[in-house]
Amino acid sequence: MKAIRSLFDKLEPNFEKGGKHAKFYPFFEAFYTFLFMPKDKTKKGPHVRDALDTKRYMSIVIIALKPCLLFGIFNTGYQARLAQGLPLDILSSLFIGLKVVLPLLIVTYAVGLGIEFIFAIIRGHDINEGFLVTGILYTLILPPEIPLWMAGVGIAFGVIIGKEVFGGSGRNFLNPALTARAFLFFTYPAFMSGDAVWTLISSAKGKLIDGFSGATPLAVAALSEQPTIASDAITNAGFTFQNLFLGLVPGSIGETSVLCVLIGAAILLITKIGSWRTMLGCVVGAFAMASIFNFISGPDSSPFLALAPHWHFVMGSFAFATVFMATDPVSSPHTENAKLYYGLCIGALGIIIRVINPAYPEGMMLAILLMNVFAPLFDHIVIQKRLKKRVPNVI
Amino acid sequence: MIKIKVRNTYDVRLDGKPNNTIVDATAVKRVGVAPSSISFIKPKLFVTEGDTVKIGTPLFFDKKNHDTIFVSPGSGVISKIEYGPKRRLDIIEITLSEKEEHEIFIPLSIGEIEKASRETLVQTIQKGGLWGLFQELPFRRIPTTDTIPPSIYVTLDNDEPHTPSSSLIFEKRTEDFEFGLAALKQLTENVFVGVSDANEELKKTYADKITHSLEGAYPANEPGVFAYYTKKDQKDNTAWFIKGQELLRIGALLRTGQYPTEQLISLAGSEVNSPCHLKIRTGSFISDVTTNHVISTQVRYIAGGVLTGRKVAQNDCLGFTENAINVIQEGKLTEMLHFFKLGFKRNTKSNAYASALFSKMSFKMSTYLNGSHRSCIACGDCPKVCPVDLLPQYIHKSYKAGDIEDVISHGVLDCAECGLCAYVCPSKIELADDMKAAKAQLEKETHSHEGH
Repeated sequence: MKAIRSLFDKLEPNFEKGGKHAKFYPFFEAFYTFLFMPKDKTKKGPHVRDALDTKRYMSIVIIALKPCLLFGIFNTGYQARLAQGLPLDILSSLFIGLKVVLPLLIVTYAVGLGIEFIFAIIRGHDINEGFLVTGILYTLILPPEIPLWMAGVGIAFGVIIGKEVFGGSGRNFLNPALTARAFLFFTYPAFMSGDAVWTLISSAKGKLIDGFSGATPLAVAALSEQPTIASDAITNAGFTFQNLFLGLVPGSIGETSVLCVLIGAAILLITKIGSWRTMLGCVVGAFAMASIFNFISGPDSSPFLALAPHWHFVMGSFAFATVFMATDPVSSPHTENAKLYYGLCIGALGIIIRVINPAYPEGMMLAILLMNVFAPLFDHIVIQKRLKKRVPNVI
Repeated sequence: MIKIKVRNTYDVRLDGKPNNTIVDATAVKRVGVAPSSISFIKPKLFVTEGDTVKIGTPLFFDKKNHDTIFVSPGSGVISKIEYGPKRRLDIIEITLSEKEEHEIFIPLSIGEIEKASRETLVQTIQKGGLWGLFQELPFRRIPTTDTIPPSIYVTLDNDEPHTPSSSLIFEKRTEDFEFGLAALKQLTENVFVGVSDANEELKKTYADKITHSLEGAYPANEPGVFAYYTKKDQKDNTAWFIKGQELLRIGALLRTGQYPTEQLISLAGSEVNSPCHLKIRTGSFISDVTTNHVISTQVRYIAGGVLTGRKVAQNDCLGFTENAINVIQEGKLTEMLHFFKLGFKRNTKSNAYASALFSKMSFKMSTYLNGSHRSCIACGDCPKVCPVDLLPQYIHKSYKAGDIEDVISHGVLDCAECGLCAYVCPSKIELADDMKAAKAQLEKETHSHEGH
């Protein structure tokens, strides 16, 4: 440890102002502060400071994402082996999953961090930790079949247009991971939707089992026709409520397991890093909208309308989006009360898009992106109400 | 006694709390005054190096308000006048003579105070050099002598780590307290006296004088907070305040006719051998009263509390309203992979470290920023510690964008300058500084006509 530190101390003068490599200071600083606590001391204001910093903040989110990541790696392999009728042991599934997810992670981080380094050097500020979370989030919402180059292009768009163009971490108004994903969705629709992308089958060595369809639970629900009941259609396709909750269903890499998402939610809520208001709002909004649909559904309407709320919670990316995407602090409203209304709208809108719109089987991504745009409005309303209560300081 | 429940208070739980012993440290050979530590004044000297002064001799005045004078806390010779950058008047040092002499001011009895006119009292306090103890809201500047405030707030307690205990300050000082309060009653109609709700001792002793009890941790007893929770309409915005020990000094001046030269301070912090209270000469130099008390060398001396105080060197003297010396560790070696560790010993308000599993610990803290400067990530922690219901993240962004109107409408002038917003910010944004800078800008715009 001391040896590493003295190595850094020796190299530091080269990177400080006036040194040979002064331009690359953000590079040096990123490695130094990854390993050691930053040396900055308080100069103005309070002489002591809270121990929480942005690195710790992001680290906790990354830890909260680990269950989803690990399960996602396993499930990608599991679904592939299931489709080929191969034995479903844990090691083989993990191995196949790793072969897909690890390259995606590497490409995502390499491209994303590379772009962030360049911007940091051009702008002369430190590299912000925000991308460490965006990288994992993005990888977990990709379909397993996505080509590596496409993932790279997507994250590049997300980082540049979703974040850096506005000034970097803390200044974006859209969720960068979702921006990247939306870009992919609209630019390469064939690779992002349909039945062929959610299970790893293109590189299948063996034959696919008979009757393999590759449809996700949401697709099955959306296509169900009267007089079938939607939940029956889902269960008959092999997606029992248990499987949906555990996550042993096809879908994006990390979003399927509600159980893992709940573990992540617990971590975020106990550490108070994730906003419970946003999460609660989402759940309540979705419940309300699904209940309304249940109420207005009849024998002539699509069976999807009659699907009970608890099914909506475990299908698709609802859980993952509620806990990890909607709660992104920068793109959600900044005032506490506004977060609740924001969550309500996301939940409701997500269900509406899912159920009503035939073109989008999943509505959460679009719901969140749209609400990101409205977040300042929610804040404005809450703040105006709040400021009216103050005794004004007119001078 | 009306009880006020102050919202969003927070105890920083800092190590090195002073015990209740009082060590006599009045045997010093020099004292000083620090004009640059007083905000919003333009000091101009009456004296030069080599002049002989008595206790109470005017040393300098405020160019913006010629009536506001500051006098010498010691009798002897002006040995040194130190300037900082741009001829800023930093320290006036007085080497004390063997036998000290006082300037004579006329003492008043309680009866005389109660019958005296406002002008007489104002003049008496001014001539005694203690007018500068009053602070006028919202900018916390010394009021002009011809203003009549809507109210004056007196706070007896101070919860900032680590400031002296009010019980010790007020021990055997009831007379001075009464004299001080009597004078205040001549200056304004409404005098509000606030004490901490947890302070049962003072609540009982001064039950007839105290008007409010403030419930909450720091900064419930800050005058700005007290004023915020009691103001009813706009005219209340220009109230004055004065803290407990400072009111006692005014009372002593009126009662004895002599400038009070002794005060009680706390000497605290993790780097002090045995944190305690000190009886000192007003304007003592840091090194003169802290030798033998401080263990290590890599330390930072802070005049005042640890959140709002001023960084000082050993050769600096205590400022006019500074009644604490805190000595904390100046950051040493850094840990490895700190942000992955469980962190049982890291002091945080959040639940992000294992230390949150235990409550009521006290933590040793150093002057580390504990992070690097980042942009605001909208974590929402700052409004949770603002006792006056501000949204510091919005004020910060509007101020940086130059939108001073928006900053005013958000209520920046209510800011009690407690420093908690900057304390909790994970992006290490200097929020407390932004508040002060916004206020300073507004003060300049409002009072630009003075001093001409």
